[in-house]
Amino acid sequence: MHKYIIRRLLLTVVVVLGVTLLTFLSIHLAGDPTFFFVSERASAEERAEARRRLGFDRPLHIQYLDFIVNLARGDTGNSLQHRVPAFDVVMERMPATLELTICGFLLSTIVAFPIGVLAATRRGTMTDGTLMLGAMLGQSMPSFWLGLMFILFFAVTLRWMPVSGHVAFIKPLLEGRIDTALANLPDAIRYLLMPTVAVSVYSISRNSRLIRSAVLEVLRQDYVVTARAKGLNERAVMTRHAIRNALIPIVTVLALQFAFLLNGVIVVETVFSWPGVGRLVFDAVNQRDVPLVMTAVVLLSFLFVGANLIADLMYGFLDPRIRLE
Amino acid sequence: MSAPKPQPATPASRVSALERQLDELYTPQSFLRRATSSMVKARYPVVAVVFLILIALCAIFATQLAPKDPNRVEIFDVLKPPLHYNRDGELEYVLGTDSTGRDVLSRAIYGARISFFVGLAAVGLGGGAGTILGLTAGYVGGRVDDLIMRLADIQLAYPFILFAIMILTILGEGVLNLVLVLGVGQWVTYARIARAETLVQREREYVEAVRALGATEWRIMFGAILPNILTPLIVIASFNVAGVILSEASLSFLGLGVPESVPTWGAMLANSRNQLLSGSWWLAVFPGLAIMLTVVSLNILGDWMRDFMDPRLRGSGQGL
Repeated sequence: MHKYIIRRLLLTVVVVLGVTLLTFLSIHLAGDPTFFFVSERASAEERAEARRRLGFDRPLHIQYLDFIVNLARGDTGNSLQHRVPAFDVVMERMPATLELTICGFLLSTIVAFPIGVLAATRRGTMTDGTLMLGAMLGQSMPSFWLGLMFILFFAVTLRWMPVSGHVAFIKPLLEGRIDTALANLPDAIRYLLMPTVAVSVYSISRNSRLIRSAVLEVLRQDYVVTARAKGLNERAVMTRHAIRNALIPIVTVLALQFAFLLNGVIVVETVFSWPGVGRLVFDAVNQRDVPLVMTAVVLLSFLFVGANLIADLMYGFLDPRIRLE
Repeated sequence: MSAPKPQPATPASRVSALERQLDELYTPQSFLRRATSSMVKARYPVVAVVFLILIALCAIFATQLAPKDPNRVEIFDVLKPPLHYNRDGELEYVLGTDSTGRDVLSRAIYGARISFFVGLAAVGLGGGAGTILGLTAGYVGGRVDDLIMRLADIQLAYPFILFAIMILTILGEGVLNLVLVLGVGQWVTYARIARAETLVQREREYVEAVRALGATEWRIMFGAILPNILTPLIVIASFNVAGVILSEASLSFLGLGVPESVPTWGAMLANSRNQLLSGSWWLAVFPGLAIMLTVVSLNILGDWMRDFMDPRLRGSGQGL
């Protein structure tokens, strides 16, 4: 088991390195990083001087190795636009993105579970049909469109909700200002509500369909028949025999969903003017802010890979028969 | 080996009838007949197909069907609501106009073009490349397998939207660039499934037989194994078109992909965002409905196709 974890962690490092290399090469292909850094009227010499000062005149592989070595030391270099450490710029925005991603993830899991189990136990009934039709529709709506519809209906027409904006919760929490965080909480939730639902409807639909089929698959097994035959009540059959075994395929998909959510979050951030990393990266790429893009991509891909790693490890935990070697 | 039991003689007429039935199973006509009857029995897929055909017709005959030029700006007809009649009492704007007076209906009809073309082309590109890579990885194994599958891991660790933002910023706007990015985003799914299926098929006797007959490796891979791994890939592809259309809409919404002059459903939604507060609901509702109905039809069709073509996948959530 330990060996497996170590191997997986090493693989994670390889994968993240691959991601950085790809990003590095593509952003350098995009053109001179100093293009937006110096004034448009800068002479060729001034431009060359800026390139030299920022280290962009060196061969690409040296620049890349330099970035990696510094990254290992925790130094990501200064953002070209903001002229402060790129890591700080990303971390300034990261809590807002995480708030939305985590809330979306929790909501989609909490809601999808009962829907999936209910549909599976009522297989073939009206309830099942209605729930699955709803899931099919939910899976076919772009999350950003749903966000627009929420704004139109709940904010513009009914005036129940704020149109857009954000009140920080995780950030003061991380900075140790617990009082501020708690004081912010009610407003934070108000602003979170519409974006969270918009982000998670797709996942809710997808997950509930998957949970339904995972439970159905398990209900067909002999041990469920045995459990019923020996007189266990339906509740015990479901909780102790069916759902526990259905969890294994479900957990994998939930972890993959986390990655999927992050994609949706980046788009939905635009709809609600959410101050997250999505918009930041978008602008950074447009401005060829190499250190900022690299840092954001590294951090986001760590999140991605981390979620998948957790799913793999949960496997062995949920099903002792699976031995991770 | 025990001697076979004496069988009661089967009348020759029955044998030939059985053979005929078997033959029929494999003719294209009978396949179509079975497909149609299964579709009619399931009901929803029929509605989905009819809707998709309508959208496809819109895409193909956009120039003939659109009542107006989708890019024509009418400064006197800005933000007209749906069912707008002009002074002569004629119905002029069925779905209203946008903030520069462009006809929403015409733009929505033209928008079908990009969604359909990009959806099909990106899936074709990603599916084709992924299948070939997965097949090669599974069949050749060793270093090649490692290399291809590590590439797949890297791709999976890369948040797709970030990847798309990077590449589209570098390559610039254009439909083909959009197809390329979305295609590259899809190959991993196909590669993984093709590889897993190839690993199974590789050990089968028919492969051994083809090899014994002296077939080249190339012929074994693409002539013998490929046709046998296609079914799950086709099923995945049908869902994938829906997914790609959603991704295309997201990218257009972010202002990436095609030039401003090309109407897309995603870009229409992006423009609608600034008009929401003024209550111009039609700008946001109609393009979104177009996306949703197209995608839901494709998903329903995909569900049916999975049940029809590959009952093994039924309920596995594969590709959903």
